[in-house]
Amino acid sequence: MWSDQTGARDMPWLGKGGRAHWYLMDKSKPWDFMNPRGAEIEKRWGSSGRSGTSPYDDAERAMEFLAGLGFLKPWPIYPSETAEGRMVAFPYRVTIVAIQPTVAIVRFDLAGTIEDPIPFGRGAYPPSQYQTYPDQGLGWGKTPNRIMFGTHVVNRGSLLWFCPEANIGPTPLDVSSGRAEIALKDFRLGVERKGDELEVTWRGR
Amino acid sequence: MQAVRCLALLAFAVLAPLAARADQASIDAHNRNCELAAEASKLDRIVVATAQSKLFPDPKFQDRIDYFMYRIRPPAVWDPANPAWAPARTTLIAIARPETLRQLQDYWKQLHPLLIREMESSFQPGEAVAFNEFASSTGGNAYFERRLAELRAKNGEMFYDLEPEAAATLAKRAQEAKKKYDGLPAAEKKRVETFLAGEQCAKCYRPPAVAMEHFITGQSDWLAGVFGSQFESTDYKVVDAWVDAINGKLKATIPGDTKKQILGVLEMRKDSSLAFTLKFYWNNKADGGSLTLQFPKDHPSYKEVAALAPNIAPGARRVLYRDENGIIDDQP
Repeated sequence: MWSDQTGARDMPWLGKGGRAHWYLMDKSKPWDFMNPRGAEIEKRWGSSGRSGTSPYDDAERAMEFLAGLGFLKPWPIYPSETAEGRMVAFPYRVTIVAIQPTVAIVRFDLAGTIEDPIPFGRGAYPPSQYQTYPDQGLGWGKTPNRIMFGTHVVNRGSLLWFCPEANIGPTPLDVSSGRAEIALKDFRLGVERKGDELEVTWRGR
Repeated sequence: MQAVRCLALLAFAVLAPLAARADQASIDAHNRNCELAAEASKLDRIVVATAQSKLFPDPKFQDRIDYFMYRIRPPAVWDPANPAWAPARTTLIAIARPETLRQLQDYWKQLHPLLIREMESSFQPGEAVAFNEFASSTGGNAYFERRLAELRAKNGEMFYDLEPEAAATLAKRAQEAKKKYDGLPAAEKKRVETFLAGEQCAKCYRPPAVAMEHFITGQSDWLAGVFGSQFESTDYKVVDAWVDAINGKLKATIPGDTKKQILGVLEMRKDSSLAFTLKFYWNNKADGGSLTLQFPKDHPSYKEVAALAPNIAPGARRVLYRDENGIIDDQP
């Protein structure tokens, strides 16, 4: 049985409208009580647990799409190996703002090249997520920091957006006027400056 | 037939404990010889002093000291090329010495019996007898006294010194020990030379001097490793106190402290391109490696990178800091 554990998370938009929810299902078997890894919990996001997708798989697909376009290539690589391969000193923060299809905003941030030390972890997130930021990220081994999600992005650094399902690579997002729009085939996303952060809103076609 | 079997069993029952007792007696005698030899030769102290002498020439141990140097300031703001580095490192070594003494005093309770036990298993009974005879002689005694004093004087004021003394005192003790050795009667000197030349003895598997040197080398290698691990594992509160002390003593010379995250160094090259260099932990070293991100003038992010260090000019380098809200600038 899928359990809605969205809580205070700032969840991304769904392409068809409405916000995604965060679902968990305990898939542990009775004999897993000896499993040193603990309970086997499956996570999904979407409009329901059944129709949802794995947030980690979506984040990985999005980043692999960027990598496939050569977007990670210009940046130097750390020597250490992770499960996903060697880590890139990637000077950007990626925030997934919509799913089904995945739309992500890429923000230039030189600090993205270094794993955030714990006392400075929240600085990558918009002020409205300062209380919940540990729940607003998805680990990916090829960048020093997590892939973020939500409908708010820090209003600092130049912006790009991309959508792997629509095969749209990194495209400049100019918010110098205070607002901008991401237009896709079936819906649009508005990006509006609100104080120290940018708010993303869903708009129909 | 039955009677013969009974007699054999009876003989075994009587003789076996006697044989075991005889074996135990020879083991006890061997252990006693080792203990006496260790005492007469101060072999445990020689092992400690030899281990000490191996610490500083070991690059891994130097890395461990540097690790603590980078606790004072991170690799982005200083390294051995900084003029403040060497005096601060000397101060750190002086400040850290008492802690290494405390660690050794604590460990000595286990280490001393451990070294004796190691001697018991390393020396053959014949070797232990011959070694003890030599160590207990006037010549042997003077030789070991000189060897230990000279080792300690060469080490100077060193980490993991069980009886720390000033360098001048150590040098004086070495001179006295040498004088005592030089004043030995010719027969005693000959005894030392013969022993050290590897004189074989009838009941020895190896020349006792070879057994002794083998023991010192093996045990001091192992102990130097133990010291290195102990130093690396120094309680973080103790290390914090070292850092505070150095900050207090050398505040005027070492790079300024900051509560911000230090990201790296931004350099504007002569062609006005920008290079951001970050250092990272690798191979147990705080400055294990560095990566450089290049931003040529036509790079889309060039302007916003240059804006992090206002008025940066060709040839200039600025350290970049990041506050807890994620704002990056060149102000500590």
